[in-house]
Amino acid sequence: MTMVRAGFSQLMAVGAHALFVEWLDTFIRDMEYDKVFNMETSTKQMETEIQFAGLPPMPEKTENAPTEYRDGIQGGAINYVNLTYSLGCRTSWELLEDDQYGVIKQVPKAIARSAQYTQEAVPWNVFNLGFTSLTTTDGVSLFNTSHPLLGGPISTTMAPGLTNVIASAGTYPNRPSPDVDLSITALQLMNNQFERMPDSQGIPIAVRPREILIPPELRFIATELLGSPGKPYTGDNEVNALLPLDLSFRVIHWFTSQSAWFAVADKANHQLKFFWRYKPDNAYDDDFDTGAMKTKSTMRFSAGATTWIGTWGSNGP
Amino acid sequence: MASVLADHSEIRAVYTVSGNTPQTRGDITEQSAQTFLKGTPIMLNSGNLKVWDATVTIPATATVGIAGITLANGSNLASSGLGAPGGGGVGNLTGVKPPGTSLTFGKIPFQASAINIIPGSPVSDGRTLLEIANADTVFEGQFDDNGGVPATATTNKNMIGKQFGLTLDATGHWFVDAAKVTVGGGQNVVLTIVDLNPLDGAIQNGRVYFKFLLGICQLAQA
Repeated sequence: MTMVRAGFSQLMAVGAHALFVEWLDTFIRDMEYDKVFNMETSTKQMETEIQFAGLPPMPEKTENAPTEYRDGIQGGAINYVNLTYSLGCRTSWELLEDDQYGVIKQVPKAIARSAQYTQEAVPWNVFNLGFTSLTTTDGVSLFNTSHPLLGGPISTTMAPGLTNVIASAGTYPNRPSPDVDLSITALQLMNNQFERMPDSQGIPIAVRPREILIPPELRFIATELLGSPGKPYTGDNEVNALLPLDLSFRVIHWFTSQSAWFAVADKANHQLKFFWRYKPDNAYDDDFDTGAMKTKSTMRFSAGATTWIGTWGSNGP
Repeated sequence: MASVLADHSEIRAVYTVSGNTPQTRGDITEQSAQTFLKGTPIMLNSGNLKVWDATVTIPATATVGIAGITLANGSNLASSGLGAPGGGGVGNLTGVKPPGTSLTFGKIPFQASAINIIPGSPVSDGRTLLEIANADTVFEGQFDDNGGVPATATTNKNMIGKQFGLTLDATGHWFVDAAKVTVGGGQNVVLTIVDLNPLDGAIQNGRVYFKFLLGICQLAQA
């Protein structure tokens, strides 16, 4: 496709009071994914990440008995495959020359905007598809009511207080069953599942929810839940017990569901990753025969989740 | 039959009439359980790519014909298009879904769906990269005679402009078959030889340059 004068006849004549050019007169939001995902760089076709489990709790050694020896466990692996994304625009030389408003020369800004969309869409689809097709090293969906632990059933026996938390022995949830709307009790459930979170051998780990990620539709209820000095929606003058959790919320405009909501730990305590293989790069050239100007932008990256630890999600009810 | 080679050179694009880069596609999903080798003619089948079934029907349809020559080995996917980008989310832009490979080893304890990835194993993104069979791209394949006559497996200048079929050998590669020359009813020809490989010249089992008959091309119908 080539943009030609016939398609932009209004740009050929001066006199318009104003032009409303969407890619110049509206703004897209600041990047959201880099506030949540761990940003890394890649120099390869793909990056492979592998999970390893440590050792179980140390048992007692009775007098003169030999020390017990145990092995660590090699878990599963996933590849972050760097894909290439590219978009170009071609304008006739005549259109470029005859544009009285200089709009066509600004087309590269529209391409940059398109690139930003893709940069956001791919990582946030890790969440959007995290209940179904997006899996981690354990082979099941990122948000799951029964993540199988490498240590097997004994791991949830070792981990304290899991009786009413887990759906079955040897598994751990980072998703409620059934899914729940954002509410006081839902936040408490989420927090409890974080605080009871064990490693693959049943040793509790220091991980806590740092922020909840919500679609715009949940902004108001999130403000009420996390901002009220008293317990929301009651007249009993109880304190808001959620405040000491120091939870914040972040509105994500790339969630497809209006009711799904998520929680993540600090970046250091989750493995949501975005690999830059090649940052957006613009290139320009003109066609010798036609004089048409070609502009393109190309980038390469991948995004995903190595493990589910430090993440939590509810797909609404 | 004894004269047919057990293995042949893989089919590959050698040049285009236009001088452009051979047209490729990398966005079509691979059908499940495909173990074809690089350089194999593959076909569209219900939107997925699979090894050509050797059926010759002119004109080609969405389920009969040749889409092109694969540039990679089949990934033996557990399900068609496994791991391919798309399938929901914002803008259908999902990236390659985990695990991103189809070559695995061993088992992971207590995690039935987890996998060990063989280091260095090729990426599998649920799709197959192929060079499109069209009127522009000239491919190269090795000549042989499935009829078992050594003399007819020798290339010569008189073959230029003649039509032949393709046959799968015992290894998994396809060769230009001197025994497939039927046109019309029971047609088994799918290509026209346009030249001999200049390095080979007229030799037994030499390599020939050919173009697919436009009528057999699923992605480049006339």
